[in-house]
Amino acid sequence: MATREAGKKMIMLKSPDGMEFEVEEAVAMESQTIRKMIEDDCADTAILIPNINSKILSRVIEYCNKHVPTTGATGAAASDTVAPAALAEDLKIWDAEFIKVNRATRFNLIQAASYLNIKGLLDLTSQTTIDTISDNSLEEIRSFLSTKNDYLPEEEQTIRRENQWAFQ
Amino acid sequence: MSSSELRPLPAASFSGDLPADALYEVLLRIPAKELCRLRAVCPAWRALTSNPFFVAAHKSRHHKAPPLLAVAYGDDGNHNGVEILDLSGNVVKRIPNTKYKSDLMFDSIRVVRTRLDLICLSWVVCSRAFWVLNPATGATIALPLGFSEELEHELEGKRLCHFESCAFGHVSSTREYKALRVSSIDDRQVSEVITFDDTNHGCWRRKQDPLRPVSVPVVR
Repeated sequence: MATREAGKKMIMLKSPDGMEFEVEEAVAMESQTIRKMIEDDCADTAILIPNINSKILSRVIEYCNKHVPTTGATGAAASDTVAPAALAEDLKIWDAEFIKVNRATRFNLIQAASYLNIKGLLDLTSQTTIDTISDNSLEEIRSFLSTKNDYLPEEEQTIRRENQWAFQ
Repeated sequence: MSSSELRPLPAASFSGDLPADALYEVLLRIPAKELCRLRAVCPAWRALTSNPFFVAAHKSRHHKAPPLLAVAYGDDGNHNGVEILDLSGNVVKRIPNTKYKSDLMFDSIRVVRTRLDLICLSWVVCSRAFWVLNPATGATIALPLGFSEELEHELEGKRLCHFESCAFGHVSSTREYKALRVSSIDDRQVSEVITFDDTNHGCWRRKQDPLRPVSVPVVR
């Protein structure tokens, strides 16, 4: 967690399981959804984030905290002293560590990033799933995601035939 | 302390481990050709990737793609349709034609025109039938075969004619399309227009004939 500095506006984020997270406004505004609420003046000092439990929300806040200085336009950037390339490299290593989570957590993070509209986190969390989907057969994808195949056999044949070229 | 509340998440409608909105984000990042393969995973995936809102979001995300070509194809087995190619000649998408049949056995499809991300098609020999294809959704609409009432009256049964070209544009105020059709009758050309949208169309209406000959597409 970033150290709290005097004079910075703080926002309270609440998860549905009752946890409260106090974060700097700039950090919360990494989420375009929250940014819009703040800019439109419809955010009070506490914002309830539905459907994102405290475990996932704390990871999201951790991500935003790490990413706020380089992406935020708050003047808090410490990049004057560090070369941007080195900073980007550091973030990449940090991201790679951050995403070492189990599958269920990763899926929940995608969902949270989608809902809160945090582009960088979305790109980061969805990449593994994109790779898995792109590299595997339909049967493997279904079993990986526990997706039920509701097609009748003849329906599936028709869809496969229509899109045959995409299997090549 | 009062508390603001964000709108609740939409109910998940997909079976499987990946929540619906997470699946949406994942599929949005996958190239179009790969999405066509994934349509066979299950009906829900097919419905999602065919949804106009998804298509629009996918398009705006992948809009930096270079220009594409629409090329008609046909093989001996009576299979025909349109291929979308990139400028290196790779097939980005293939849209088979299953709906329209020519009156002749060995007729082939031609691309008459592409505009506004739509493709206007007709048969090479039976050039009367024009239809418009939306390559993103695969939806088609057939334009009526016959002449406008005015022209029908004028021709009085004379039938030595063929259709030559069709052009279309968009009426932004009404969200309808307008098509112009030029046909050759004996040694002159006549123009007709029609208004259509995604679901239906009106009738051809006679307009002033072209002052100069309108170019005829090359027939193989």
